[in-house]
Amino acid sequence: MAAVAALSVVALVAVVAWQIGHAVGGNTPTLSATNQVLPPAEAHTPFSSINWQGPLPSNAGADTSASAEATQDKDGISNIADNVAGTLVDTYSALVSAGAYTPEAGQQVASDIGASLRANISYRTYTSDDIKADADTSYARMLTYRADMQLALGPLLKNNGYELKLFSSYIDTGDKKYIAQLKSAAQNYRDAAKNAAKVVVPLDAVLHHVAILNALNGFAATVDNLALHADDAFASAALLQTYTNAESDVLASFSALATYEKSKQSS
Amino acid sequence: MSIFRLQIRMAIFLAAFLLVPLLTHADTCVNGQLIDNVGNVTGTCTSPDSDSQTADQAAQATYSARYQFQNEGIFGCNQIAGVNMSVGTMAAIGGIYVPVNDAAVTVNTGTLVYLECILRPLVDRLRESATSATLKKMTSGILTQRNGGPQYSVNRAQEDTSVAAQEAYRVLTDGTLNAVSPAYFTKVRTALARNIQMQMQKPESALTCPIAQRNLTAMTAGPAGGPFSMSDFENLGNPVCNAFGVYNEIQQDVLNPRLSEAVAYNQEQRITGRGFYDVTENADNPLQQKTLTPASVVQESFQQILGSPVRQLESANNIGQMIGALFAGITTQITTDNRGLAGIMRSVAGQPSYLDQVAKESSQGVLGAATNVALSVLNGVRQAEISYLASMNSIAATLTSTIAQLRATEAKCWDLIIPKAQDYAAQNGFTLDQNKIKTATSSMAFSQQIIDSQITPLATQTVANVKASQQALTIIDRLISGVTNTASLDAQRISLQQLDTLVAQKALHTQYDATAAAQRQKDTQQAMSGLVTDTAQAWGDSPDPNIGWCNINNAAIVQQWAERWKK
Repeated sequence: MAAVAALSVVALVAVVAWQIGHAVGGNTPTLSATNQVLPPAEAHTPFSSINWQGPLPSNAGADTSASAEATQDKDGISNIADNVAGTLVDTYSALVSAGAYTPEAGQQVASDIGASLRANISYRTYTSDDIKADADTSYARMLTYRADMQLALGPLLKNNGYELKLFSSYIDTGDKKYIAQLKSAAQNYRDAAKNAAKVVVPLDAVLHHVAILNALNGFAATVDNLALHADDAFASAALLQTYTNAESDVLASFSALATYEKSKQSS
Repeated sequence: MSIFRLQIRMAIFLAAFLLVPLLTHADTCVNGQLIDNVGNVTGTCTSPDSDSQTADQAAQATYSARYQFQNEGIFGCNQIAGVNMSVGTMAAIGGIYVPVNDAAVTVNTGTLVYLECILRPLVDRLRESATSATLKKMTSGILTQRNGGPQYSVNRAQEDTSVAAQEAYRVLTDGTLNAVSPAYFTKVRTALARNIQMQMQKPESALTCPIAQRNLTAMTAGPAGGPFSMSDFENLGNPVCNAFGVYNEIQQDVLNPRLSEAVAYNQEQRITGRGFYDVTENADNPLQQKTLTPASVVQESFQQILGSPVRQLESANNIGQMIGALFAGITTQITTDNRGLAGIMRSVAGQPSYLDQVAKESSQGVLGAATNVALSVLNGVRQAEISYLASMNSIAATLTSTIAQLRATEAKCWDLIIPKAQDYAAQNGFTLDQNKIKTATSSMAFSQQIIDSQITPLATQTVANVKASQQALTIIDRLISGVTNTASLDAQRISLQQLDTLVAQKALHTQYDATAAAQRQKDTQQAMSGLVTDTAQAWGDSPDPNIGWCNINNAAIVQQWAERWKK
């Protein structure tokens, strides 16, 4: 009996996921750029295929560009809450209707939804073609590149707080000054990336450089969205997943550059 | 698509009926337990005055107890320290600003603590917000879904009138009247609009003639300019050729049927839905709107799922628990994803984890506050230099101590040998020359030989290292002095570039030098300890006279020294 119930739950969840996937996924949102070094993790659950940022069914087909522009939500992050809550309650209703609901089954479904929740964010990405390279790959040239980067990344040094702490402080206090600080931090990341994009790079450092530019822009976009959707619990939760990846990208990209510098010194 | 929409709408209906009983259900607090209206324990209540709790308070207490909300606060962890550096700043310092030798992106321990200590309560807080927001949103949905009003019927007559008005507006604005002659289009449309408004608001006013009595009489008598001709009358006889005719045509053949149809449709929904309306995608256009979820289906499904107040409460709890599980899933993802910062806490491929490295290196101070990056970096370099200097000083102290121990051992040997030699001389009838004894013992030749071969090279190098490190510290202090009390990025950049150059010239010691020096200090200490022990053993125990010069148990050694010091 228990096995039958379990199978029923699995079948129901699969069917609901399929329906939702077809219903919500019908309208593909704006293309999202992801870091080329470390693509975001994709959780594999029955809900993995759902586009949580897709337009809501009642708005499907409607011209949402005006409102999206008004809310600066070009990625549809604000749709996450309604899509998740709807899916959650739909699944619950389906399970109850089929007589298959148990607290464990419900929590498993919800946990799967949580695990599959991601916020894909679009941002300006760079490729090697966007970078001006210098064939000189000597140690001395690397030092010059470092000096140029020290100047270009100056805006980053204006950020005087851990971004996650700023966000947490807002959640804890509701004080809008933390949102302003987050937005300011994001702008500094963008400025740094913009400056760094103009730096002439030793040929053998171009890939590291591109990774840094994309990581900085990705992180800026993530922080911006955290600030924009800080009052939306579902969107914030999805964005936190994106945040950990974006943060990791920044650290990894600079770490790779540090390794490159050391290798130049010893070669 | 329609199934999904049905489910969404069901959710809205469901949630509406979840929250209402949740907030108004009169649970009673008895001996610390909340009892619902059928006698089930639904939660706990701790207020001393809980017996007098309002229904809302009781329900809220139940709600919180059910979902185990944790409100310890995001910053409730006491062990948080030093989490003040921006991710980008931290990465850039490690990758670009520190000298090439030191370049490595390490993570502030505080950041790691954040993941464990802050992220969880942060997501918990979001979960609480999500739970209440979801129910609020859905409640708001059911109460405002239908053009800002409830999805179910509240005032049937008023709702029918409203639907009729909407349809009438459509007739006036959707192009139906475009065929009317421009000559009296505006007049006819205005008249229709006024008539609609009148019908909706004051139907009885339709019987009142808007023309004053004396004007009406004059008009009936005929126009002042001359008689009204038959030809004119015939021309205007066609209803669509005069304003009155058109008005009546529209009223009877277009407007009234559509209004009736709209009202009938509205009533039909209400009847089939047992008081609920269809959920449609365009409620502003009564006859063109498309049904997303037939009210009857939703009503029946809702009835099936939520048959009683007890079931409603159960459902509210279930949804709340699912939201809790959803956020637990998110927390797990965030804190265990090995590509996130959390992964840094794990050892990978036999390498120490970032956490271990950071714990080991945290004393370097490289990653301090970022208000003045150059200062932060220089302080880190200074720490490394101080560490290096300390190791070198320790090596020097060890060598000095070893020298003293070797000399003390030699002195002890002489103290043992001299009496034995004197005994031997007395037994053999000769005396010893005190000057010769003094010369032999004061030169410390045996220990000096060991010192020269084993210790002097190390000591020379150590002294040079100590001097170099002291000079490096002077340079670093000068650089620190140059950037102290300034926020100038240029000054910091120049300072860091000077630092980079100094490191490249090996004028400063890096953390790697410091680590190597610490290891060397350890090795030296061990080696010197062995040297002292082994030397004493060799001098005192070896049967070889060339090595065991202090072996007083060897008669040949005693004889040798007595003969050497013979007067």
